[in-house]
Amino acid sequence: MLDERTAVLEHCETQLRGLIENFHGFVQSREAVLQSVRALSTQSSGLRDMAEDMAKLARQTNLLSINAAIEAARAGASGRGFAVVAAEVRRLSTESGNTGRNIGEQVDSFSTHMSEALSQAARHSERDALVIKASELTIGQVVEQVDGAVSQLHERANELSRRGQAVRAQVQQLMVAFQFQDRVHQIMDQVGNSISSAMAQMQLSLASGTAPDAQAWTELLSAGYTMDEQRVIGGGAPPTAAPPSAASETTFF
Amino acid sequence: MAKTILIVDDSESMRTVVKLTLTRAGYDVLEAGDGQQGLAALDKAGKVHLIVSDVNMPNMDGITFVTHVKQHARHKFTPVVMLTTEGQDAKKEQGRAAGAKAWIVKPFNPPQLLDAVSKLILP
Repeated sequence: MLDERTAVLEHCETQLRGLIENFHGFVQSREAVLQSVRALSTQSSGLRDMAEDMAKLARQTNLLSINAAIEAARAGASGRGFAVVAAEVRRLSTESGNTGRNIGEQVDSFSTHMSEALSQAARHSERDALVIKASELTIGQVVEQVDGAVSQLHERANELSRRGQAVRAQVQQLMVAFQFQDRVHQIMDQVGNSISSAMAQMQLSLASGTAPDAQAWTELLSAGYTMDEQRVIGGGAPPTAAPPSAASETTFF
Repeated sequence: MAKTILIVDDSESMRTVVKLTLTRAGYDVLEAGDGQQGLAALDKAGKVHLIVSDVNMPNMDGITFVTHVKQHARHKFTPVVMLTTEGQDAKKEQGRAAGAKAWIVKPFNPPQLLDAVSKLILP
């Protein structure tokens, strides 16, 4: 009973601890995803650098195109074609600068969102850790309380069983004792009959003037015996031959 | 379905003790006050799976009763347990010769009687 109870409780505890392990697994999976997101966030700062480099390059190209336009003006008519190229380079560098700035802004926006998501995830992780710790504590307390309650029930069941056995034994003793009433009744019947016979014998003896025959007298009395102790006591054994106090053996034929 | 046992004893208190023991163990019980009443009860009864009988009884004693049971058309195979204050071997031999299957000297313990009943009772 005790082993069975321990096994059931251990089984319950193992199952509940298994749930907590599952929670741990979920948290670890999420942590792995977050790790990847953090790596992405780090890489996004590299993107910002690249965008800045691009803007810087555009500015330098723009400066170079302005210088080229000035030199083309100095060259006069022979530099006119070169001035067209310089203007085109300047236009392209301005466009490159704008594109670089846009990329930088996009990367900044992306980084801001990423940081917010990461800090939110960190808060969730802390909360999850607290919940898991509280759950483990609760499981421990519940298992302990159930174990205590089961122990008490077990103890009470044992007590009831002990009392039941005591009552059963008493009932059996009463049933045996009750049967002595029947034995006493039979003995009293036999004693009554013997007294009647004795009176009749005495009257016969008185009428005939002879003393009663001892042998015939004993046979007359013992004819009504039904129990061993009657025969023992009637046969002259000391009256200490007590009747059986407990049940006899069964004889099977 | 509960099995039926006939108790034959002239002592009402003994019949009560035996009846209590048997009914608590789930048996149905019929009662008779002596051998003659026992035979009358068997004539009227359906299937009787076992008989518990006293020996010293008025009108018809237990040994004569068993002798009649063993000649009964419907109940000759019903096992009989003698439950008596008689402990003499000569009496036991008379019971065995008459056809009884077991002999228990009073006072008996309830488990002792139930053990004998369960070993002998008809299926």
